[in-house]
Amino acid sequence: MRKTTSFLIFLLILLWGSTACGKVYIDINSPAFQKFPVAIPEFKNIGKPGTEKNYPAWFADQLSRTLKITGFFKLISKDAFLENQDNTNLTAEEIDFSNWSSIGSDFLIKGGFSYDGSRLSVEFRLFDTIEGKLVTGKKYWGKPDEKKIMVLRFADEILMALTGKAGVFDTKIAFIGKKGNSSEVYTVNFDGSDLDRITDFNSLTLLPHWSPDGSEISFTSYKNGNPDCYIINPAKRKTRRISSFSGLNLLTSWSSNGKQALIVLSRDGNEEIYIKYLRSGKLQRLTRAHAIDVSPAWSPDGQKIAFVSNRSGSPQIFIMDSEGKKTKRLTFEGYYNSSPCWSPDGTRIAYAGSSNGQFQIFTIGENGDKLMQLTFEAGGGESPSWSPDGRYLVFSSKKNGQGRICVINSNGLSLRVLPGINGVKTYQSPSWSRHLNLY
Amino acid sequence: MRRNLISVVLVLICSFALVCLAGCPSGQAVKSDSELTTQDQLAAEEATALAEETAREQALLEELLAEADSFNNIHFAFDKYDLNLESRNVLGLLAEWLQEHTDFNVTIEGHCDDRGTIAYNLALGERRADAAKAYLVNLGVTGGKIATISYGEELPVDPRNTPAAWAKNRRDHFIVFPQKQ
Amino acid sequence: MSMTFLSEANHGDTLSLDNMVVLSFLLHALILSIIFFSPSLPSPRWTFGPSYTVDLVSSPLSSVEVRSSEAISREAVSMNHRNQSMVMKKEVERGLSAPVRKTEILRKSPTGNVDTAIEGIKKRVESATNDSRPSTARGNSEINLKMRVYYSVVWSMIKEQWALPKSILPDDNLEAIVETNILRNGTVSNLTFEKRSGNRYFDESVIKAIKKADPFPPLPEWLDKRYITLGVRFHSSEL
Repeated sequence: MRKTTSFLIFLLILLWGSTACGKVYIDINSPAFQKFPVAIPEFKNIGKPGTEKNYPAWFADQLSRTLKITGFFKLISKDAFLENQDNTNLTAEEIDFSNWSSIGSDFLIKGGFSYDGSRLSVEFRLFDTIEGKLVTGKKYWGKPDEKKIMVLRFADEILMALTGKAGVFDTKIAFIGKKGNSSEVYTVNFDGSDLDRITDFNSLTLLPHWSPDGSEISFTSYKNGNPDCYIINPAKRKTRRISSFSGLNLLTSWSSNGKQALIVLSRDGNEEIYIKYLRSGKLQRLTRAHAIDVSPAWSPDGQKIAFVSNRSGSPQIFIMDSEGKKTKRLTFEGYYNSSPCWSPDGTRIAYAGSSNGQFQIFTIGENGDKLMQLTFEAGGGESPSWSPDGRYLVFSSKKNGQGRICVINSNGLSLRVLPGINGVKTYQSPSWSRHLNLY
Repeated sequence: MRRNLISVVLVLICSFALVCLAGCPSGQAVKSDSELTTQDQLAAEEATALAEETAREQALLEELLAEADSFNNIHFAFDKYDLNLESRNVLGLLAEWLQEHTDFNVTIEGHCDDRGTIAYNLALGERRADAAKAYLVNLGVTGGKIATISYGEELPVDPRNTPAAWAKNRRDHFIVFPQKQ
Repeated sequence: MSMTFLSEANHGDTLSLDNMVVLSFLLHALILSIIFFSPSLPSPRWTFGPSYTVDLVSSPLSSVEVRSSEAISREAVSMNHRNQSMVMKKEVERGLSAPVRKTEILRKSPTGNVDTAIEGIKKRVESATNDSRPSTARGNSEINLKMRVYYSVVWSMIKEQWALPKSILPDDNLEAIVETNILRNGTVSNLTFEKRSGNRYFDESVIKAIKKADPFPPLPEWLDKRYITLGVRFHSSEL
């Protein structure tokens, strides 16, 4: 017995020894780069010669710009391209992928178009240069003025293939543009196009928030000499006043079905949180503390409400249920935490927290875990709002005293200023809409 | 605010003038020379007296308005709405003045510096305005004469990003104005 | 002599045969013991030409040579970078393209990422000297120790080519293990998954990283193997 066990042990050691000395492991934690390198050469005219207008460069530029604002792509500069720009090799069989993989471009997008005077048809192809194969390809037909829509549609295809989710190009961001003592509500597309002024009250305007279906925007205005709450339908340019108690009327969150909203009123003596039933106008009071209770935000499933209260001495974020009960404190780091906003999947809350005398954007798990600071900017960060796919946050940040609207990936990378916004002095309080089916 | 006061003054002057004109007896068309002269003299004297009185009223009003404007802003510590000694002194003076000039009201504006978030600062500004109001009421001013409004961080007096500017912005501002009649 | 002895003994003298035998035995024993137990005298050496000392245990001297040969091959590469006048031109060119690509990517990394890049470089240096230490077995611990330099180069080349926007991952604790063979000339063969992470985009990105890093530097000359097998563990976050 002892002999066999010792023999077996010997065999075991031999085996272990052999496997261990046969393979060595190395650990790589975290990728070095968090963007897909992609090259987009000019599109080729595959139709009648002489009909190309500015399309070759336009398509390449527009697609490059669209992919760039997603924050997931690094565009390889045209100067690095090795391939002869004159040839029209658009399919995997014709392309020499080593020309692209050798300049560090993991992905390649090639396109061809054909314009017959009335109809434009465009082919897009996404290639993986390392595997040397086509990932996805699409062909679109339409009028020339629909060419941007074609680009956005294919950008969605690219994102779907490489990241599992389509993009957020069909969303808008509402925000306040302020000049002197007067401010108005503006909207702009995620890619910075279509800047539009929505209100014309010529007074102080604050806190715009999109309705869940994207058809309306709520805001507070001093038009009547008191901070009253209004809702505007931007398409119809129709406004209605929904709350005008003396004191504050601040709507900061809609329910997911759009039928109720959380509103802060001070009519009962001090600032408290109420649910307002938008059709009937009925009010249901939720908080009764003597402290300041503001900035309520509904969780996506409607079960919980995050809000700001100074009941423990300084402004901190608390969570209560939708009846106003079971209040628990969420934030314990930092002496001033405010502006909570739930992520669309309901797992995290973004907020503005004090850090070194300034506000920066933080996210925290709804159970108080996984605290993460996202911004470290000299201009700070306030008023965060999530994109509908949870991949981005929009917020306001100051530069030279002026507020700017900025976007950041939800893991803190790729901070950029939202393009296309200018003309007014300072910007604040952005709010991100749902998908609006703009194209 | 100023425009309102000027129009009030003008209305007062006009109403005074109208009253005087209405009260003057419509004299006969032809009078004896001596009667006419006396009447003219009287009218001239009255007019002078009227003008003087109007001027005095106007001066008094302007003085009052200047006084009303003279109540300084009171200031607050960061994230606080407690009234310090200086604030209470100012409020004491204001209370006295309001009780003396009962046909004036006051609006208290509550303001904050731009640190802190917009919604919270609206609430904080409101607390600051309410604190001043409560103090005035305690001193005997009728609550109905005092209105409050918060502007949060939206209307700073000093837009710079320095502690000195912030201290100036954390304030209650008083707008004292004659009641409309 | 002994015949005379015998004839004399036969005449009935006092010296008997037995006594003679005993005496002979004693004398033999005495001489033999002197030979055996006396201090050994230096054995005479027969040398032809120069003398060689051979040690059966490996000396520190040989490992230094190994290290310097690595340094030489790497120096040769960097010298070629400057002189462009060496043998093994093909391999040098390949080696050139990898560094050029790397610096381009580093330069173009987003400005907000400078700190992340610096962190990455610091960690790379640390890891190269610390945690990428491979697990070893007693018998081959020495070979693995010498290979450490080679493994850290492989580690660095794969990491440099790993590009993946982490914010598209559902959570932050994914792990995939890829097994690969590296042939003598540094090329990759037999790339397979030992463990998948469960996330398609993560798995695709790690395979791509190794394919892009291919080929690695040739295996060290002193390593007597046709290929090595490497397990690369990819984690989505710093552990």
